[in-house]
Amino acid sequence: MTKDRVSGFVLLVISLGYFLSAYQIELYPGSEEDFINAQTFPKAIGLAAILFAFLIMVLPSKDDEGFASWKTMDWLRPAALCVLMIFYGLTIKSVGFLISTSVFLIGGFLILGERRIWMLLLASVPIAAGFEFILDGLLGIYIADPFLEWLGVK
Amino acid sequence: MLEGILTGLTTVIQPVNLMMVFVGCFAGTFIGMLPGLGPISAIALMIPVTYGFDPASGMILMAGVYYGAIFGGSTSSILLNAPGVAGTVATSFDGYPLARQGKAGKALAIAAYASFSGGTIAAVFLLLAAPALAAVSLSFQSAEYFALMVLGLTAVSAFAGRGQFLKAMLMTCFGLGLATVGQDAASDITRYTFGMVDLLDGISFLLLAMATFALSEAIMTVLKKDKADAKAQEAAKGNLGSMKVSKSEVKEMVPTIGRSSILGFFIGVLPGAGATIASFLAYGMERNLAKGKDKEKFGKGSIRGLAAPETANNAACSGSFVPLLTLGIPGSGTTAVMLGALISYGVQPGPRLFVEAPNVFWAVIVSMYIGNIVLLILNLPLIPYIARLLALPEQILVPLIMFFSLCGVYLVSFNTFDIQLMVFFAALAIILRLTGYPMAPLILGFVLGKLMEENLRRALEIADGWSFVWERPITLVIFILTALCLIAPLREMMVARRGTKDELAGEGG
Repeated sequence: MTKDRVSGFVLLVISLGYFLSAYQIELYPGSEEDFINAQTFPKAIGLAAILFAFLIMVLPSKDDEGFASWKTMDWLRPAALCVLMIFYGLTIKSVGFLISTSVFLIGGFLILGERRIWMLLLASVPIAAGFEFILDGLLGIYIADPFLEWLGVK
Repeated sequence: MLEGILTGLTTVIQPVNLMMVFVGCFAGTFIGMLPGLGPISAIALMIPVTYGFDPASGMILMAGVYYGAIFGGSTSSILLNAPGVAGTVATSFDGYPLARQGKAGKALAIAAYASFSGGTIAAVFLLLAAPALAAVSLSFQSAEYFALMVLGLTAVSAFAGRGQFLKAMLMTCFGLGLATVGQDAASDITRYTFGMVDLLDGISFLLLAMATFALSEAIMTVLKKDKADAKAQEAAKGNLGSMKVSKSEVKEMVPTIGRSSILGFFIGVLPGAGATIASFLAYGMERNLAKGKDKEKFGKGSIRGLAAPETANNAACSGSFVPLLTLGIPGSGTTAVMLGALISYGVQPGPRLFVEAPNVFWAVIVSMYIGNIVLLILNLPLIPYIARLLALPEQILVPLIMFFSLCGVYLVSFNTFDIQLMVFFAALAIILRLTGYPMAPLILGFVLGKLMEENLRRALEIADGWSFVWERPITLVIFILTALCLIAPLREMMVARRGTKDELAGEGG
């Protein structure tokens, strides 16, 4: 199965979903007869997307090698980085900028193979602290940090 | 015009703006040099920094980042044969062989001179072309704008390359589709929010640009196992050799620079073309013009082969500002990101920019001269030191780029939902990139989506129907050009396909 056929099919389904959802957009009474209403543009885009996705599916490019190269790729570390980013998003407000950023950076360095402890600490905590100081302390952009508030620093 | 130049000069020589030129060129050179990160990522990463600035300062910084990134890309092309930017791929054809011959310093110096000349000459063209086109486009109505946007989006896809047309068009549609998320500007009706309050305001342009470029490009470097690290360390520590360029070499370069500047600028003005196509065309043109021994040198360390793409890509960068500044329609992914940034500053690019915010209009143009001088000053003496930055380990750089991308978006909205949405879009962008779908048309479609719908609505209301398509000759001409842009690549695909079928039939028989 070529990449173009598979991706074309998946994107065709998404385009169809988008196009059909356009009919669910609520309209003001009477605007159905207007030349353009809130549904017109999405319907036009949806139709065009369906056409192009269909053409990609039925006219795959000649030099499509399929998914063979995907098997040699390092999927684990990018996946771990994505999980780390989600975790960062969940903790940045509740735990605070300083700790969550430091943990995020240390986690990222570790995932990518950095093992020197001095480097892990030096490239994370000072950067997080410096960033927070510049934004909050110097530029006056308030950054919620329950940890620093608990310490009484903020 | 003189008044305009003086307005621009007064704005640019303010210490803050001069600093912006320096910072922009330096940051652009650095980011562009990192293999995998292009000018769109470089500009997207700088946008949050510019939010508190005056629009003119913000644009000056971003313009500096743009040509800095293009130049930075050539450094990694020459030293590592790993172009950080598509626009500098052609630079590696002769730049890398020169570096292998122990002439890395000379190759970098030639690249710096060629970039400087290309950028400066193109800035003169920009100075002449932009005000003239802006004056003409003042008469444009919504119908023309809508037609131009359709043409721009189609042309970007048509120039996307062999076999990429359909994918680029589909990505454009997805970009336009993403722009419809949130409240409809005219009716306030919510669309595609799926009941999520966080999507009511739509998807932030910065979020999408960061996720689909900076974040996904950084993660892609981890995904692909081809490690340039050892090579980078070696290049960074190695001796670059003399940076002197002899008189005969200068003589050889001058006509090439002249030709490539003109070609680069005009290619840059065309919607969809830009630095990549300009550099390849200039390289091809020089190779075709070369004779005998000169021609044989191409691909083995030809000075003309290095100077041509380097001149053309910088000239194209200046050229791409023409449609952005005069029509408010970006012709490339990079200028689309700039348009998004300008809109978020509250500045509407287009012919009115020339009238309403002349300081921004002229400051960007004048800053290009200064930016090119800064690039030359920055690059020639500092190149050996800047090259050392290539030795920064990937395991430190990638998490830092991720952090700057995430924080750049989070610190604007303070909404953690944005971080999760970024991860979602970055993951999606990686899958799409791996299946060969270009991201620039997506961002272009997204930036133009709202403007397109607004102009279409206005055109339909004014003409009381679809007659706006043929009522004014200029609109009709633009639509015919769009149709040609659509048909030509489709026809080419069909012919190529028929050729393959015939070949197969021949083999079978």
